[in-house]
Amino acid sequence: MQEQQEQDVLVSISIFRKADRAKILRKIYNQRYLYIMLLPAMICISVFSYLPIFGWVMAVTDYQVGKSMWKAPFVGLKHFKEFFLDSGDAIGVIRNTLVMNVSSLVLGLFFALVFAILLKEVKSKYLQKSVQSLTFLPYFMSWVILYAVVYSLFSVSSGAINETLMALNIISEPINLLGDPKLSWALIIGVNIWNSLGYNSVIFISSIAGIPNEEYEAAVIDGAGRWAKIRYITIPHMIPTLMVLLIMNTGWLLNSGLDQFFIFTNTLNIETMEVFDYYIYRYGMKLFDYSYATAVSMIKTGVSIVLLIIVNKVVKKNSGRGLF
Amino acid sequence: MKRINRKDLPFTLINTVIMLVIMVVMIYPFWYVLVYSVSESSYVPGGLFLFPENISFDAFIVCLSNDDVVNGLYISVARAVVGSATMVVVSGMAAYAISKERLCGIKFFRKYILFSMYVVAGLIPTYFVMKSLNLTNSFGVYIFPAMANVFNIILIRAYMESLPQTIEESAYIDGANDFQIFWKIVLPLCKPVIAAVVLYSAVSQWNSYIDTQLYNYRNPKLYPLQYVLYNYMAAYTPSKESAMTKVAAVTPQSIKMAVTVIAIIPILIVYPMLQRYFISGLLVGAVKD
Repeated sequence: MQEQQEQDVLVSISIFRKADRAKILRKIYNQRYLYIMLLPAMICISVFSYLPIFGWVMAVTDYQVGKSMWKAPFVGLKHFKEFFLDSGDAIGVIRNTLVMNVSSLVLGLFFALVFAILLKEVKSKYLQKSVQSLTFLPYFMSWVILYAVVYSLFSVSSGAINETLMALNIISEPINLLGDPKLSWALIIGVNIWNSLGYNSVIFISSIAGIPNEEYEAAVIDGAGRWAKIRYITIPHMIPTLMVLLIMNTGWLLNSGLDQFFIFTNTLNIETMEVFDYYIYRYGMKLFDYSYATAVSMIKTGVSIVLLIIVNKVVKKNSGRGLF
Repeated sequence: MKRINRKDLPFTLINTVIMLVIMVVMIYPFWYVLVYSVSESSYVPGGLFLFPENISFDAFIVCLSNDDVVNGLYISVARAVVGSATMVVVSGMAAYAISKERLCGIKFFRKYILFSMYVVAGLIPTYFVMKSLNLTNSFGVYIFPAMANVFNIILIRAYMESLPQTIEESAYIDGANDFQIFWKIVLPLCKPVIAAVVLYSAVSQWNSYIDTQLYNYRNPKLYPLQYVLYNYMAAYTPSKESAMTKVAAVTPQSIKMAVTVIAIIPILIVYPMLQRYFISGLLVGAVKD
């Protein structure tokens, strides 16, 4: 390690020697096509990924539309304080985001695991492949389509399921799944589980397929039935995978995806439906409070990083190794 | 394993039922939309149904004669094609360049590219960048940000590194420059990974609508099909719909269904291919440990 460092220092010193400089410049010239090929991507990444970071300066200033971002008056942590203390919004937004994301994640992975285990027990290969194929169907659809589909089934005016349930006299009034604030969480969590079953179960299914057969055969010899095999072999093998997936997703726990929430959030259910991403969108793009929205955006990113570090530390302490 | 164990029967039965229920839950919502869209409007039964009543394509005819829908289709197809093509060129070239260890400064470039995945600036700053580049109200806002896709660069680069070096080396000796080697030799050899990323890019472009909402909502000519559908769902104004239904006896609901179907069909067509690449792609990352 130290040798490498010494070498690097020697190389960088040697660049100052004329002969080496000429060598390196000639090398660059010989590779000029590679640099040209790299250029468009470097420009795009610089402009669309790194350049926006400079916009974070808006979070600590009172940005006025039409004037330069850099000339705006500095206000320090005013917007951050506003989010947590002055407006009552922080609690609701954080609550909504965490409830929906954590539930979707935990339940999504749980059902995917159960599904993967049950799928393995299916005798017919044909049925196995068909079911697995079909579970992917919702995943590739856009949220507009998914909303349209949920709407066609659950809308108050003409939703098929509402009409059927009313016709069968199971309910007397249509279920306002898309508007009732008490049902927001159930709706989103349900849709997320439906959407992600195929995606989440792929890893479990392939892990289960990787469990050596000898373990099962040994268990059968010891008299294990189907449930014993699942309980003592399949599930213990899956727990590490489950943990890794859970932990990997903690960094994204505050990210809800504007794609999904833009279309499911409306004036009726906003109190329980509004998540960070929608809140930022609403204050930034609809209310034009750019500085405030940028500050909230930074809060979201900051808390996500903190969460990731905490979870990683906890995992490291418990199992000796973490994600990094 | 093929023996039907008497004791197993209840479990197998329940499991099969569960699987069938899952299949129904996954597919029926889409089937319902399809069946509704080809049923003649006045005969549509309230509630769930399985087969179309009085097959009629009136809803589709009304849809496709509507300028908004046709323009939306055109924009969506253009996005998918142009977006994917430019992505392949830009990301492919970058992948090739950073796969060459001999490149001066390669460590810097790799870190720069990789780190950008973790740098999430946020909605508002990104909007400002787009605005100051005059990308708002333009078709370019669909294309330029998607050209350099870091994830795809990594995928393509990994594939390129697994190709045998011998062909490249002999071409190099024969006097070809890096660019020619990339275009004529390496890229054609990368067909599998290129096919996979093109498929994903096309689906992603086809499904995007929030970028229209953020940047292009003032220009209806730039609305992709998804956004047109979104407008139909969101702006359920009775006046607008009665204007449309004067043309034919087609209910607004049928029209929504028809537009939804038009938006779904391309996904269904590429669905088998998507699945195959998707599963293999997910597992590439997972098997590493």
